[in-house]
Amino acid sequence: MKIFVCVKHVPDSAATIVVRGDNQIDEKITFLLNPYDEYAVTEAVKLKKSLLQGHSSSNQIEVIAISVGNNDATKTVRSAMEMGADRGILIKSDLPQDSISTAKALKAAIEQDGNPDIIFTGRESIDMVGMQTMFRLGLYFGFPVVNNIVKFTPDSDLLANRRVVVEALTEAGGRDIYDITLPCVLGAGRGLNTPIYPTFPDVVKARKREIKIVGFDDLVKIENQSQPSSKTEIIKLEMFAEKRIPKEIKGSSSEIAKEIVKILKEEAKVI
Amino acid sequence: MKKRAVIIETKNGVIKDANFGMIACASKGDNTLYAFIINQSGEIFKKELGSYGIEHIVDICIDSDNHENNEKYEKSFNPILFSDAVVQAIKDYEISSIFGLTTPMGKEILPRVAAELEAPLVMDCLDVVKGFESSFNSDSNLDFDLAKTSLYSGKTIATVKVTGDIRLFGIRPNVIEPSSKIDLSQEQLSNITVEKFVAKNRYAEQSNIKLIESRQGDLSGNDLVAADVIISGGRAMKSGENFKILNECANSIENFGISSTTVGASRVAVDLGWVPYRMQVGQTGEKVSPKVYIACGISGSIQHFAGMKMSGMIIAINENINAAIMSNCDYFVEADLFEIVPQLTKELQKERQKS
Repeated sequence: MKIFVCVKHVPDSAATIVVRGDNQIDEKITFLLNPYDEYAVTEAVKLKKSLLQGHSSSNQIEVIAISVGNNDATKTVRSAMEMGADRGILIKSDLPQDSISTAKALKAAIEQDGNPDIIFTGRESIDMVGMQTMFRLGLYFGFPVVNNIVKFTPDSDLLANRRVVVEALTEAGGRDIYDITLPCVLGAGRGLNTPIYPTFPDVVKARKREIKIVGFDDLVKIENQSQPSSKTEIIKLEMFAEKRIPKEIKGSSSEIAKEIVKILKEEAKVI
Repeated sequence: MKKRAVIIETKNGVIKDANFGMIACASKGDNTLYAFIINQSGEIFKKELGSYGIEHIVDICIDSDNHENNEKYEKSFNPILFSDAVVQAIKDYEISSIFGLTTPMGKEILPRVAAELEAPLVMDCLDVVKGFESSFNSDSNLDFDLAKTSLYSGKTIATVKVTGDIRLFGIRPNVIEPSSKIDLSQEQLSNITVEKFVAKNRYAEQSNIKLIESRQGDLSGNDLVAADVIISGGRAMKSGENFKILNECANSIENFGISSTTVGASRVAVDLGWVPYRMQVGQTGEKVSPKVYIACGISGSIQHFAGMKMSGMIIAINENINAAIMSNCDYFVEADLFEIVPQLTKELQKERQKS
């Protein structure tokens, strides 16, 4: 069984972003594994462990981390391997790619590697928040897709029955529960699990594992789609102007409360 | 004339307010505007949608459905089935731009439709405009091609160029002002068409995925993403029980009948198990844009700001003057929230009685 996990190398949400040129950011900041992808990696590794307990031999079950990014993104693939992925694939692209071309490259690389049984992703990336790559990937493969899953229950004999039940989070804390036959694409949501925190031995072990590097252009050429007719591109990037000038409201509790009421009524006009 | 469609979202049989900002965005310029209503009878919304500029209402339903019980239909919403129905309607009506809301429903439908049509999609748009490309070429048939969205945890605003025959835009709720309502004459009203579009049920043929159960969430309160006023609590709330003082304060604002008001929380309050995840505002929670955001005992981490920095006004109540939020808000109160919030509730009630 091949379990793929798509991971993305994203700027640390606490990093200071500086815009460079018209549409890029200064990349000399900390990048890390997209937080939602941590749930995806963890669930894949958990699944592998539970299948091994069911006496499958370890070479039958494989977790492969895959990413689209520049050379630096090998760090994120490595992070996924520290969390327990057996090996990694980096689809190397120095240019930013949109969801359509990312999904195409992922499909080509996964297919080249073998037949996927489950493809996990995070429910969204925190940098671009496109919220769509998993759906496109599923469509290119012809696999069912469920995003934002918060519960994953494999069949007790997954290898034979190839079925999983997942719960997706919907509006106001609701749940949609799906019965899926493998292969499938699943987007991990927050709360699916508690992400694995690698130990030092995990880190050392991961160093020895292989990361295969493939060129983005070679893959998308295979798909014969070097000039997609549908695309999105960032043409301009500007800093979000923080223009708030804080004013203090002082006085006794009741004076402060009266002042807030006045602000809500006269300035904000919400009451 | 370009044909654009907005996917209307309802809740408990009422059109959510956030739709009207989306309609204002979609109705800019020369176009014919369609409203897609999924799984409900469009007839009852004719007057309301018409007064915001909708010309055609398309009532999307699935082959073999009947339409007697709207409530039943809202409950039996299947994202895979209805996304495919929307794809069929887009093709049938030759729509070139589709707008939806970046809500749980929009996050299900828009990417599924975009994937199926291999069409570009930008989620969480703050605005959608026509760019230079089409204005240079006046006879060009191009429609909206530029979307503004916030990237990198809300720290930047990006202009995204969208190329494709069909384009999809997920609009962030509450950031675009609705246009003012028009009083429709009887004649104008009768010009608004309501058609039923019956989609083929292609989902029934799919054997590899079945929606076996839909457990509804708690739809009784106001939506966090669509609320006009949000009162949020953080670590200084000390317990889940204490959130009731925020609820009371929110109710006293709601009671004026002007603004939908709800209670939110920081990640800490959710991680400590005080309140459910659906109340979380921030990078890994909901991204909100209320008119007023009242932060009670919230330090204001970068990740929290990523979810609420688009708020019209931020009022911070915190005992710690050094909390980050105190220097990045419109008003701050350096005091104990347990003194200020109940007092504020009291003053709001007094004000309500006056008016």
